Amino acid sequence: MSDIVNKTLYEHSLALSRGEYSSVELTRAYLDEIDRTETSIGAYITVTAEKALKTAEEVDLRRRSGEELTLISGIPCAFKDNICTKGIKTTCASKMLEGYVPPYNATVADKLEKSGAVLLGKLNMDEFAMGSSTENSAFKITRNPVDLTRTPGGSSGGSAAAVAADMAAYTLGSDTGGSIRQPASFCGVVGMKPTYGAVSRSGLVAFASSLEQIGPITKTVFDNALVLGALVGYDKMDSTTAKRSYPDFTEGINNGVRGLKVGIVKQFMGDGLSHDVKECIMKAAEEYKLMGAEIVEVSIPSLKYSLPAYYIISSAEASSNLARFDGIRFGHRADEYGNIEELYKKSRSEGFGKEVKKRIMLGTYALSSGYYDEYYKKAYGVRWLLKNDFKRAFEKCDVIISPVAPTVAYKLGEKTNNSLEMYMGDIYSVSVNIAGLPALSLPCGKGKDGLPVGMQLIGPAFSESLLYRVGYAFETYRDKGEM
Amino acid sequence: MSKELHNSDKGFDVRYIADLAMLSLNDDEIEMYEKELGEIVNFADSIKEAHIDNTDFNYDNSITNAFREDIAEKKFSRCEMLDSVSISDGEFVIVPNVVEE
Repeated sequence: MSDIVNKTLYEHSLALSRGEYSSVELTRAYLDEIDRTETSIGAYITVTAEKALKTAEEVDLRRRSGEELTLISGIPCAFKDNICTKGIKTTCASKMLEGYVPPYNATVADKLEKSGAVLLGKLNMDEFAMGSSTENSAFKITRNPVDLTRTPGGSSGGSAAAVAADMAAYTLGSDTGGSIRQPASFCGVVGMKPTYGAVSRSGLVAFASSLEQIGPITKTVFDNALVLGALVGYDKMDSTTAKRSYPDFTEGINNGVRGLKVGIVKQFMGDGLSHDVKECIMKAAEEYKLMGAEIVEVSIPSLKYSLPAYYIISSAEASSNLARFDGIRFGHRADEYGNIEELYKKSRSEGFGKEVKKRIMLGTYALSSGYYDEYYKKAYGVRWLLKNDFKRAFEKCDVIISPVAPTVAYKLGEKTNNSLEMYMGDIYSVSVNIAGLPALSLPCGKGKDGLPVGMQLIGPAFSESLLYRVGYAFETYRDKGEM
Repeated sequence: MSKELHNSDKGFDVRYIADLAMLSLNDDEIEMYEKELGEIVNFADSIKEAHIDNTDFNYDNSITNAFREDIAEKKFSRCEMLDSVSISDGEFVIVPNVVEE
């Protein structure tokens, strides 16, 4: 049974419905795989084996009784550890929340639970999702399954590594500035950052509320469309979710790209982009042309301001959001303090790690009197410049193809002492969050040392169906070996 | 400007910012953050060149807040809520004296 873990979610779905194996057998196979590889990969913070087997048993029972189930019922998954799970530790990979057990489920956790998903556990990440290599976790390092000396990317490094190493059929991550797409790219898997407002953030421990979205990481584009379908929708617990209906994202997924206009952003392809990644992206564009799409060049002139705008907005929001960690109602509380202020300061200083403290201070600075206009307000203006630039670009093309990250996965420890260099790696991903757009990251080739290279398909707001269709066309084309 | 937190001669007033952020740092940390925050702020300064006029803020009317009715409901018991508190007496959260006599 051990080889079943390398199947896709959809293959599991078919096999389960045909009775080729049960959900309990499948869950056992994943738990065995976790047992076998966790020491070398380090993807999980918590494994919920007992609960997973119990859920699997229930789903098997429901299936045997003839109940109609969803396509994801009985299939084992795992969540990034910033997604609240009732009765299961949710740590955000921080000492601050080391022992925190939420009294409620995130809306996405509820939705998947109702769909009969089997939760295997919670995944490693950069502390409070701040980072691009998962090295900021307070608990452990996650290694890239493709090359164990390299980072899986971040901040959803555990989520991407788990899928790449067959330690879950699919996972959930969160993406504030590229945190789903970049690790997906580094590990050679598929990740979707949905349109802002498509997926409820209720129960996602907040880092930068105006930028982040929860999204799926999977082996294939089709699997991704299946999972996202189970996540989207208005939620009264998140007033930023859109009141709209969503199509079945797998519908029309194989309609191809003939007649579509695929845009290449000239500012994305210039300095700073490594040669191997650029070559992969250009080759993919060429292949879209062979499939019948038209390639057009578009321009996002304000792109040069996107990184500073991102680090100002996200840190400002982080400094407000993380003010709730005061050592009183939840989270770490210092043992000794003389007065209330000392309690706050000691609890926060002991609980937060280096990068988190840095972002809180950067945000505090950007919001402080006298600096607010220069930084935060300006960054907010850049947000509109970017929105307008993308809007103009989408008048000329249907989707944009771009790199996800400037390089392939780098070595563990390579950038830990140079945060500015680490931040620069987010150059192609952050503008999508600032503009609230959807973007799909999928493997498009191999770069230096045979490491995976991901490409990013960006579309207008709520164009997820189109992105899946365009991604699926590429994946199918490559699978058929038409290259 | 209420207080100058950063200037080219003195660098970054990390001690004061940490205080606003309710963090206490030791001398080594202050030195490290002075350098690192200084670098990031220098980098972020490029945003000052961005030219933004009011016409850029063409607010999109299709995006609205989707508020729910403000109806109180009891979702959690006191006991469940107190579970995540480090120090309580089973009824209340215990904190140091806030109001001085």
